[in-house]
Amino acid sequence: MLRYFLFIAVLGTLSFVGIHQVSLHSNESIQGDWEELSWNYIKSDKKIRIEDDAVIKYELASHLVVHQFEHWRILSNNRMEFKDSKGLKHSCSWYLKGRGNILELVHPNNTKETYTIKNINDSILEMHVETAVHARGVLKIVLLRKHEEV
Amino acid sequence: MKKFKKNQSVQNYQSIAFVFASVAGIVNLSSFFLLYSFASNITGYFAMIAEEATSKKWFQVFVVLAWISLFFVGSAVSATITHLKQFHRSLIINYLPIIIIVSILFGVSIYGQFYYDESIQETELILGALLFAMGVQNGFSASISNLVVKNTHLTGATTDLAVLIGRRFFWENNPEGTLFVKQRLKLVALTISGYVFGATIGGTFVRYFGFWTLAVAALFLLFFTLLFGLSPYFIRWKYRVFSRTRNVEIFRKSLESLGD
Repeated sequence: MLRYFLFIAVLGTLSFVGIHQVSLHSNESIQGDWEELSWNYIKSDKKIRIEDDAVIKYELASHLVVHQFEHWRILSNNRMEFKDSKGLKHSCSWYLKGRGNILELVHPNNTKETYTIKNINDSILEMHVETAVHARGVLKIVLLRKHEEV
Repeated sequence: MKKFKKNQSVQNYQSIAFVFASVAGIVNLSSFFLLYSFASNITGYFAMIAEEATSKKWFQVFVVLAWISLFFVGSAVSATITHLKQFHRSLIINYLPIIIIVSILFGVSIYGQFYYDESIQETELILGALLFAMGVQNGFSASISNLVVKNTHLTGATTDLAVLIGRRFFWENNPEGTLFVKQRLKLVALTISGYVFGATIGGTFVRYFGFWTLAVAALFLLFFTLLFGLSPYFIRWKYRVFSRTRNVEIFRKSLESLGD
């Protein structure tokens, strides 16, 4: 009885401490400068390719504030800065949710956008957004990490 | 008397199933909308471990494993308390699991509403606390009902529903078997409808009240615990009061007869 009690006490404590330690890592891995690499429309009712079609991209992603920016800078203080090719800027707050797989952006007008992080490593950040503008489907956004030039 | 007790326990199981499943539904939907992850979807979490492991996301594998462990720990705590009841019977020990669940739900709703700054550490720890609370609840209902009622286990409930509908309407001829199947069917149907009811309430409330929705779940659980759980004590108290007044009446009548 005592041994069982000790076992569940240790397991519970380790789980809480472990979660706290591990979550620090998720926060750090997403920070940095990112550049838009591609937009794809996947798992859709219709076959739509939007890599080179700016008009379709605009229509599919018009509900997303970030669709007009190519450079994303994710800062450590939960702030995020966007820049387009002409130097136009936008900033918002970012939060990781779930098990570190959901990126939530909160814009200054309090609108929220959520992205599911499918893959993140030293060079790539792949995110999915569900959309139902033209047809049901998922927007796949791939960003490339910009390493500082030495 | 035996039949009455049997019927009473069946009705108790049905009440437990509906109330606990409703609480699980509220908590699950609230956690999904507020923290983007479910608080009682253990089957899904086991699948997630496999998914994250194939993508070699070892940190996320650990987080999901820790969540499952916390659900397990919650269930183990409930089972231990239920086991302790054999040696030490008291009202506090009887309702300790409910006290734990209600405290966690109130604690999380107050923290979420006033102190939560949306960091991933807090999100994952709050989810851990909610999974622990749901483990306590599931363990409690399973322990007191001899593993009959499991309110967050809808995969099993749906399977049971399919089997029981078949037995009830198509191939059960034995009257005793029919009675068992009818009672079991009602229990499963109440579990599923309670969960859907709770999820609807949770999904609606969370848009307007945020983390306070968890306090609503706590109040809902507290209210029904007091209603169902304390009713035997209330009946006993009423009986004592009634018998005492009756004794006084008999005593008074006997005094009067002595006077005559």
